[in-house]
Amino acid sequence: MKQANFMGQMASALSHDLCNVLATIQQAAGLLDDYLGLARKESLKSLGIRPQFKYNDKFESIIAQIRSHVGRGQDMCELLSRLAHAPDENQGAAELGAAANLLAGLSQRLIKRHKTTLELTPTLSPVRVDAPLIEALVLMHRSMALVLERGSGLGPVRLAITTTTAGAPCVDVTREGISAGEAQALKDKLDPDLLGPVGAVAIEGGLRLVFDAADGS
Amino acid sequence: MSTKDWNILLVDDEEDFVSTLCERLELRGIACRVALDGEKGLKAITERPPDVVVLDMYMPGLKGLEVLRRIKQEHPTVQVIMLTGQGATKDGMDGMKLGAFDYMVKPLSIDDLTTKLGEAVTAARAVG
Repeated sequence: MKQANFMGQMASALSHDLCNVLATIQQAAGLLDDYLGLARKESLKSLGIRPQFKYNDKFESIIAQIRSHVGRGQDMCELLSRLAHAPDENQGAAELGAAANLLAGLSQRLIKRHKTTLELTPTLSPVRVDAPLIEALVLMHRSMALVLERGSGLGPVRLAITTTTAGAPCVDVTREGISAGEAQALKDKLDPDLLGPVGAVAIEGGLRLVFDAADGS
Repeated sequence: MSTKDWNILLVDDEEDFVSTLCERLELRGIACRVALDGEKGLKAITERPPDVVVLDMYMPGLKGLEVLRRIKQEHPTVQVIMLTGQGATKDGMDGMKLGAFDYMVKPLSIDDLTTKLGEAVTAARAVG
């Protein structure tokens, strides 16, 4: 856990700096847009005596492109910041919906690399479990990687928070096209040390991670 | 309310960011000054109290919350808008508990900032 805390602190510092870089790029693009706007006004005032800035449209599209990538970077920055705070957040009482949401954001590249999509079933109410957020994230990510290893040509990956028949909170990580036998093989690949007290079951289409409910939930 | 008589101070150690932001505000007719750390910010406030201070939470030397605490102690009519990073909304809430007018998350839009400044200037004039 000390290593996780260290990584968290480093990632948090990087995330902060990254935010500042993005904020500066965003304002610089904005300033360019401001001056472009002023140039347009000047051009109108002169009633055509002074020609409009020749590359106006090109500049506008470049500014729009910069802004769009700043937005993309902003989303990444937020994910990085949430990940950075994961080791010291919700010690022993992760909320599965929030964990699944964070994992979905962080796994976009992995999902894209496997040429598939991720479907996340939203939870209606918070589901708190007796495990730290970082552990829930690691297990869910490992399960997703195993399900993705099955190869291409299958359906989307699905992440769903649900409960067992006995009422224990769980996360199903599944993919259409994975047989029961294949699911069992995936389950056997899950390292028991990684699982700790969390249970793993092979289910139709993939894996189920079974948690203990947090006290009071 | 005209933006022409607003008096804004930006306090942030990110020089390129804060000078660009100041230039954009000036293009909108808003007078602003820049201070690159908390100490300089407090000095600038004492020399000429602004209506609103836009204050970064994380700076080397005096931290944003400490600067905020001193501003509210010494210049209670000055309104403070805190700037936080993504995923640090808790820090912004802590600032509001200490008397900040509001907080905004970086990167921020100039239109959102201008609107928030207008609200803060109104509040500053109401208590001043």
